[in-house]
Amino acid sequence: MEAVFIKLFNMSITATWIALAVILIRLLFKKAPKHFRVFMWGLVGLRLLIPFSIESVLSLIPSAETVPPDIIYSDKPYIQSGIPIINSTFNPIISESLAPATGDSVNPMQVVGAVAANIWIFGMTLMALYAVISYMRIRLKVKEAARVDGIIWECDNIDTPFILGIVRPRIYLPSSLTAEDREYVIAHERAHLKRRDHFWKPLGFLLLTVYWFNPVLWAAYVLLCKDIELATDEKVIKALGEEIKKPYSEALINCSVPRKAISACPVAFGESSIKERVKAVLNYKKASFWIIIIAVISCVGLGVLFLTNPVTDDGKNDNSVTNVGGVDPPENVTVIPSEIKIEKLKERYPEYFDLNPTTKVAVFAWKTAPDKYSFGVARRGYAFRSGLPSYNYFCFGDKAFEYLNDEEMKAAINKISAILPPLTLEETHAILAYCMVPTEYVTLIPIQDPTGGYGYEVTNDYREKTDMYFWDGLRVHISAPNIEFELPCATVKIASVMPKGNSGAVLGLVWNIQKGFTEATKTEYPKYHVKITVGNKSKFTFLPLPNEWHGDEESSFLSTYEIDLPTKGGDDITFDLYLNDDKTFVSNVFKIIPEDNSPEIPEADFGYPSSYTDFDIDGDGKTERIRLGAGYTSGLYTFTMRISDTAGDILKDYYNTFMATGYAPKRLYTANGKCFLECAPLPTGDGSSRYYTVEVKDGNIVLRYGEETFGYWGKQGAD
Amino acid sequence: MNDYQMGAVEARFADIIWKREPISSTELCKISLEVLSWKKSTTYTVLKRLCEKGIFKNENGMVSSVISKEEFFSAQSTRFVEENFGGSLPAFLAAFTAGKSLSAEEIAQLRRLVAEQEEV
Repeated sequence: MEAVFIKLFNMSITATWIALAVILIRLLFKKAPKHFRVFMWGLVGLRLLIPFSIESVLSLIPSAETVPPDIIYSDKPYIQSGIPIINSTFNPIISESLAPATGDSVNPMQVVGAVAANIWIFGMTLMALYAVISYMRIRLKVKEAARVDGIIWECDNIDTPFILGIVRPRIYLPSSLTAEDREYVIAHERAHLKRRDHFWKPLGFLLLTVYWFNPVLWAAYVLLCKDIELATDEKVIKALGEEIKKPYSEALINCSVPRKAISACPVAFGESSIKERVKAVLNYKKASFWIIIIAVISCVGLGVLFLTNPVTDDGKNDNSVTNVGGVDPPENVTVIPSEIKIEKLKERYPEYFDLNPTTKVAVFAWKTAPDKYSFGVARRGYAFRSGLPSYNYFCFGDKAFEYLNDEEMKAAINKISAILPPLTLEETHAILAYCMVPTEYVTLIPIQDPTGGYGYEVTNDYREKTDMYFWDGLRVHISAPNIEFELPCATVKIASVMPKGNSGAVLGLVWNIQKGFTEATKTEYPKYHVKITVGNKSKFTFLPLPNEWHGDEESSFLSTYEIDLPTKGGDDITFDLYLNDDKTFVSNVFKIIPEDNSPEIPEADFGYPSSYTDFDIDGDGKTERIRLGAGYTSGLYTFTMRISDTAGDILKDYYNTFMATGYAPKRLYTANGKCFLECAPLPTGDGSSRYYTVEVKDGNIVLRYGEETFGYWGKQGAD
Repeated sequence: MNDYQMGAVEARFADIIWKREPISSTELCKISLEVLSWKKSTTYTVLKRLCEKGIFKNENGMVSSVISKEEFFSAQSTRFVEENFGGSLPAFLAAFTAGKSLSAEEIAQLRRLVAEQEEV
């Protein structure tokens, strides 16, 4: 129920924006035909009715999801209103007062959610009761009505004419109505029926019943009722001619009765601010062509600007200012900190901490349902080491699941999923980061659709299919992993740096806090700043210490800092960590390298993975195309490299086949006037990535890493 | 004298009875359904109310009037004149004819009426 309420709450906020826009347009274009107003209220209703919307860059809605759906379970609740000042004012309050305290069994946000949902249901019940009771009372009143003609009935004990019923509507007239007024009243009620108002108005009330907690929507309902009447009056005058303006207004005055401000059921003749209506009737003039054009344009504009949701890049609306097309100073860097207490995770998911993944193994994560993930460590045997057919297995603590092919891999994962509790994406991220598993070692397997292949060679393929945000877009290269710094009573490790969408990063720091740390020392504690550099421009941003860093107990936290910054693919971004004494603390920790400078070429060319880069490799003044092709051959990891000219005519062709011992080639790229081959580590190697320079020497392609060179295998040469 | 005020719809119903009395209640329901689109229960509810007010009576399924149509409306008009014109007929006539000129025939009719009243 809380989830439904949060969804409806968010929908009501998006609808508030469009409702406010309609109120503004109403004020600006008083002369426009009134049925445009009713149409615009219809658009507000549409926003309230339909739980989804298309995204558009033109959308003026600040945030489609003000309250994150997972707020009730969040360790650090916050809202995303899309308006910076609101976020910065309320989020510290919300986060501080409603964050779960250590040792609490229930998150206070959960309590708030449950109470709010119950109040909402209570209010909804009251509204529905009011509607039902008013309907019953009115039904009772018209019980003794007599049919006059067709759907027109007259009744002794009503004061004002109205329409009752949605499927088979009837017009009820007070029997005291004079014959003269009767003609206009019937014309008015028939116009209502033609406009289907007897359906739209109750629909409006139904929506108000659901969204009763939003005051703007109350105003919208009152105005809708008014506009329905005004539009109907206009329709009558248009149909019967302007000369009836006077007698029609008299009929209006005769039928006016003091009414409640909000009425649930019927559409009535004498309802809604008679004074204003009489004025509108008497002032009625046929709208000019231009007014109608303006009205149509405002309706279309309203639809485009307010019916669509703002574009988000990772499902969360992060309010970052994305800078398309150029490198500007990262002035709009925003940092959203969140922290997860590792002890809590350990308590909840001991299974995953049993794994003890190290950088020596490959970690496979998979998705079992929306936002449900599991992961495990995969090991494999290699024929060239054991002399046996290659086999692979996943292991979890003392359990291992062997697999030989895709089907068996799938089956193994299913078995494991059955015994492992599902994690959220954040928890997966937190555990992997805490265990110091760089993202490069993690392969996401979309379990619903595993494709062929094993291990590293499928990595890129899977990455393209993943929706885990830190596995696509930019790649992060940590040039100095496992950096640790000592602080009084604490050690801090950089656990992870992950790209987020294509305009930011998630920085993960593990804080291991020892005994002796107190609240008093916290205030004196140095604060961290991170200097983010894009191009030649920098910006300092503050990284808060873990909120829960207090008390005299040993504990660990993974603090993640979601850093949004405007950039585009191709920018190098450098993060420097500083203490607030402005001495560089750890500089140039990592760099985000965009992946897109290494376009893939079709698999058919060389096998998989394959990529190429254009570069003058032999210094002859002409650019050559350097290609990489790789694939397994019976347990041996081999790959080929070929160099030809860019036109595709093979004038120069160097080709060499290499044999990997400990590294698998990932991609080619050029930087600083050199060509590099990036190699990912195999479990048999020393566990870190390497960057080999690519050179041509004596007709052969040489891959060099310091003094080391990659070994050749099989046929070599140049044509 | 009956001071009950009928609504227009009730008057339509009462008219049915005055026109056809004595009338069986079954027949009355049939006609009410035809003329007023009333259900049986509605007919009985309204009939019961008008009987309680002493306008009609329902004896063994036969409905007939206690007060005739003319008696009822004359009582109504008398009360109207009393309430609005302090019971003064000339004041009522003056208000009624204000802004309207009477035809010679209407004046003659009025004179005759006044003469009849004087004789009694």
